[in-house]
Amino acid sequence: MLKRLHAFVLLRFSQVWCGNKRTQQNISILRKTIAIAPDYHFAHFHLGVKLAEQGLFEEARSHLQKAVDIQKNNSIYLTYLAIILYDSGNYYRAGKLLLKSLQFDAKNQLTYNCLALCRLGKKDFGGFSRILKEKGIFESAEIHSRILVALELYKQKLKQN
Amino acid sequence: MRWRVQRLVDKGYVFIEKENYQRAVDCLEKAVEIDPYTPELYAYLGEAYFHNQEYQKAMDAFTKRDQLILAADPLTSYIEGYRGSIAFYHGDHILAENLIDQTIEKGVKDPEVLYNQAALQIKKGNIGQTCKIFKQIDNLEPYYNYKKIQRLIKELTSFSQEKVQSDIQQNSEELLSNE
Repeated sequence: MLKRLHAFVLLRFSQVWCGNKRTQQNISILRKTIAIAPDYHFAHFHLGVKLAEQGLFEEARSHLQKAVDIQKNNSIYLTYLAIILYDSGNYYRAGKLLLKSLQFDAKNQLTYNCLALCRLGKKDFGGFSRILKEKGIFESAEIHSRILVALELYKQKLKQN
Repeated sequence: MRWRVQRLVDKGYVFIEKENYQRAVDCLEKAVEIDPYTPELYAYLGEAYFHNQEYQKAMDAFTKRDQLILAADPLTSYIEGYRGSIAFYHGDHILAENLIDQTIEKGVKDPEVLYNQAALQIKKGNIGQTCKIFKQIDNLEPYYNYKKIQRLIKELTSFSQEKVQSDIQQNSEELLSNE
């Protein structure tokens, strides 16, 4: 119990003090948090997200997978793990995780946008545009970047064919 | 310095009136030597060359005048960026990259030009660099990326529909020719 409290305080400290600026310190504190409480899924999730931002995708994936393993019905963990898989080109597995995420939160617009990206990754432009039309485009600069990159890649492949 | 240049210009025009064109050229060449950055001096010099029947030199002087005027115009860099964007749409990626990179170096921050820079990076496979550029665009104009997504979807939807139509037409033509 005390260990859990200690881990919680450390995690909150990393969020408040480090925020989005002191990334390396943030990662270091999160690692310490996990060392104190290895089954603290929230810490695994945050560490996974921070590592992915730094381009350390393999390690990010393992922490996000750990978060999902501990708390299986958390739609956000499933979505973020799916994003890592999408970024590494694993559209099929990412899509499956996103569908699972929607079982726990059927109204999550971010999850639907990621699902649309997976469809486009599998060259299903119709599926992609249908999802975005029905569910709208999520308000996030990162998602907009991902969608634009995916659309431009799709457009360039169409022109080549 | 300015008064010296003005004196030379005035002398040059006196010589033009007296039809002593070579001396006019000499005065105006000196004026340009003292102040090589004033466009109008090249116009006067070009006129003197013209009267002196040195037509190629006259053309070169007028071209130099135009270049100075364009270089001083703040819109010129933006236009270069748009020329680069047009080159990109026409498939000339090398020219597009040169023009767009020059434009960005001159400090132009136009979302459309930046977008095409990002598109060129996508073509090269530099996705990390692309995301940084999209973030820059988002900071400049928050709705630009959102509107671009909608435009791209519309463009690709009509492209797909045209392709389906042409495939159907091609298939029916093949069927008819087989019969």
